[in-house]
Amino acid sequence: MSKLEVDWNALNALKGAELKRATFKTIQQAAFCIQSTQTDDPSLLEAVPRLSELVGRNPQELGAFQQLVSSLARSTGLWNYIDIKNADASDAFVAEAATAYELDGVTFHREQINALDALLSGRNLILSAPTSFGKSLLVDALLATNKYQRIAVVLPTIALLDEFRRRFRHRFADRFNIVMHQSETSSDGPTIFLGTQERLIYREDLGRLDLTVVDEFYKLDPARRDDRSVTLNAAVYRLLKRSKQFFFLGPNIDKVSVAPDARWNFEFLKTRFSTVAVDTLDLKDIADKRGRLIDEIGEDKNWPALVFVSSPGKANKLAIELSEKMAVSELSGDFSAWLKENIGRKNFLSEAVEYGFGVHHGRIPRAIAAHMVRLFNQEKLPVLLCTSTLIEGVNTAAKTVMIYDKTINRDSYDFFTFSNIRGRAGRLGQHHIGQVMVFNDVPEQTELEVNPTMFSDDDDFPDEYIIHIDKPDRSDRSDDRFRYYRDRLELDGDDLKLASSIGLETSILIKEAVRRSLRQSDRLIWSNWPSWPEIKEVCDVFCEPQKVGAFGAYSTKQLATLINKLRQASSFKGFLLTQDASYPGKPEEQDNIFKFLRACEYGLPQNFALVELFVRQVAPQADYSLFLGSVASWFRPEVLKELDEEGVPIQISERYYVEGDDKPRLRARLLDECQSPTSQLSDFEREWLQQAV
Amino acid sequence: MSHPYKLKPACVLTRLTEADESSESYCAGFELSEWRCDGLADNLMEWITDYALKSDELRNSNHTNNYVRLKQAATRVYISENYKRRGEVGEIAAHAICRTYFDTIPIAARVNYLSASNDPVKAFDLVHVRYVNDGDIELWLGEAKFFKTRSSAINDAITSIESHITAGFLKNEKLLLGPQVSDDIPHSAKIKELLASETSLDELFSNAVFPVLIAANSGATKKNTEPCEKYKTGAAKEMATLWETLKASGLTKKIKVRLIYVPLGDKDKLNTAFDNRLKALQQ
Repeated sequence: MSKLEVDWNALNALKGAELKRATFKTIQQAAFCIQSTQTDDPSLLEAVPRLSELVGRNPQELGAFQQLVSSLARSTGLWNYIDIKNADASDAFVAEAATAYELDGVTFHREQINALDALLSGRNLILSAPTSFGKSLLVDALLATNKYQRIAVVLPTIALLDEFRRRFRHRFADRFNIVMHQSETSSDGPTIFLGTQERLIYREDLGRLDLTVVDEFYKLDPARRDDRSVTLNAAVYRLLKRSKQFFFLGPNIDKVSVAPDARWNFEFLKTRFSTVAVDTLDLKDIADKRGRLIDEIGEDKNWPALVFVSSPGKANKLAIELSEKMAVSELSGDFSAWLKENIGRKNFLSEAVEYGFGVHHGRIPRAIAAHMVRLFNQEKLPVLLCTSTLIEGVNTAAKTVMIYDKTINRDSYDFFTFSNIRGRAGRLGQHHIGQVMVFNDVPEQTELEVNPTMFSDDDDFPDEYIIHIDKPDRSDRSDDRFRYYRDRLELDGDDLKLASSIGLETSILIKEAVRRSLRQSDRLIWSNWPSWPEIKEVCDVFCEPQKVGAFGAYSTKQLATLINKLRQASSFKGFLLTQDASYPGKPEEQDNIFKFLRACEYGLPQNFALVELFVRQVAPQADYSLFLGSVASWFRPEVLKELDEEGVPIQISERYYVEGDDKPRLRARLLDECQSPTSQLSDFEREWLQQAV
Repeated sequence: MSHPYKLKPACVLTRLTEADESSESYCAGFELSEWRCDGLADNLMEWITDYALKSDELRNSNHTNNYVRLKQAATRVYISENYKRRGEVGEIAAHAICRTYFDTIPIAARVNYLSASNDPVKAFDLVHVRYVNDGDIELWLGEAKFFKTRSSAINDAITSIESHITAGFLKNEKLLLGPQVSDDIPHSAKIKELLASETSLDELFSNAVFPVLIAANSGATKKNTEPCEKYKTGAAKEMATLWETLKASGLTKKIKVRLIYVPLGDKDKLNTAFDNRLKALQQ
């Protein structure tokens, strides 16, 4: 028997003695299968959550089968499905032995224990396992052993950083100093450094590390079309050089390729071990796909449902259409009212949320996006429209995933990405059986081989990456390339690294544009606060080789105006409301303002800083530092921005900020406000704050 | 040949009567002129892991992995309020004796069958395989009773076995559920076949052995202070009575029964000693 074949629908439809017999037969077949299939065969593994769900749904008839299901769970290695209280003693023994009471009583499954085994014996591990495997939990398990004192964790998104930070704070606040923001510094004591590659690459206080963890490690492969892969490789290279051990995690990868002389040794563990079962509904032949999608979204049996759409623009359009057609929740009215008051009445988000539709993509402000996910997980927002950003991070508890588009932006997604999207359906402990609706052809199944830049041959390194490699590690040829850019740009050290973050060729063009501008005027030579024409001149210079659209504006003129207005606005809320009131464009593009705000955090500061470097080569009196220090925090106190990343919207925090506040003080004030009976906070805001702070 | 079951703890229960096809007796011996209750309790503790874990399950992990804390787990399982005691002492003893004196290895965590009401019932406390004649395998399906009185222990055992073999077990409504048999076990292919195919169990049934372990209070153990001839004769007599009861039930004609008698000085005392050891592990 190579595969366990069970008609689950037929089994689920049975009743009484027939149900009992058929359930027994299924367990019997599964028992036989255990001896003849791979231990991680998905058809065998999925029997456990399915049976577990079936028994739970029919306690009268199948209560006596619970012990059998526990035994099956034990035999397949899904120890987390052993019902400790009712299991046979020796089955319970296995589950108890693999239960970590210091991690809220979570029970590990066999493959998690295998991975921990490799790690705790000091080996470097690259783990490929499906979404529902419980990979992140392994990091917590390692921290709980007290074997690791200083750990760096690299995550792709700030949303994910915050999720990890919350979990770590809950479990390890008394044991580790958790460092996530630039303003937070590390002591010599046990420390967890949490950061995206862009943040960790510039940290000076890392010291010696015991462990480096890299989540979603496939992003190290430049072929994954991620323009951040160079920085990721450079950051990880830097971390590994000072780290005793590393642990990379990612989903559904078949192979990791390494150049023969690569300096890193590791063990690659690949498992298909999944802890939930998934039903797939094929809708590719439906004539009216959009109509069917909208019908399915309206069905409460599908909730909570994630709807995958290819781009922010399409997600926005769908949100608008849906909110015109139906309402799926009555529990999100206060959130919607808040959005109207704090980001604007015309913004489609307010309307979408009012009718129960959340929207999640790279542009949505962080605290708002985080709250959307929270409400989704609490089943108050039943439908969340999302792009790949949600799929690459943030843990959601979705029952259904509807894969509506077949592209990400304009490229067709491959089997790997498809599997990752599909893997979002179902959630251990909540939805044992997930549901996936596929509206297009499933991409052909292919093996995914990951080629991390840092593991490849020296001569294949991209120029941008070479800039980050220390001299002794560079080959002669790489060294030549290094010197070429150093001389062309007349930059060295961190300045050269800054140029590499924008692109070395692009930087050369910017340098030339700077020189041209300086020949014509001295508008680039300013210090303190720039005037509008001065801002515009800088934008013109760095947008010459780059698209201004990437910064959330349609012209450099508009970009300069936005920057200037943001700086002059007396409040963040006021800025958004003014923008909302005067917005002339299409509703679904109104979130361009959020795109601009994202560019202020990352993109604009780097470009301004690079221009300043080139200007200072000619006119050392230019000094953008004041401006540079503020643009990334939207010209608000840094602490507001940091709290925003932790889930507190600036619109709320800026009302309570007192000059000179540091984060603990402001956080304490916000907490007091939550508890105060005379608070100016609305009930909704109070609840939000309580969940965030 | 080295395989996961090659290593096993030493067993303090030693053979008291001659080796015999039908019945044998094993005793913990004496210490300072008293029945060796504490020594037996200590030894059963050492056997817990071998008894509860199958094949290489967790076994590779327990030295390096902080998450596999077998002893604490044993404490939680066997003495916590959540679990009803199910006579584990007897099962562990049966396991230790079969492993030590008959070289069996455990193959399935459990055997179940459907009762008349279609509810699953657990059959047999022990499911082992034994290698015989260089290549053949024998299925050992054991029942263990840890009682105060011998007569109720043997009667209980007879009732259990009868119901197991007459009810669903012979009607192919059985289920052998165990972890994957690792390939490094001798004759793993045969064992896999035995577990995997629906018919082979019936074929093998003629070669199945049904060990019945009776651990109960013994007058002979109580009255003696050392393993003298008088003690051996007394225990043999008690064992013979148990065997007679088995024969009278008719079971020995239908199946190949093997009586394993473990005379105890004091069942309650052993139980308490075992419990105390588990409690001592609780931190």
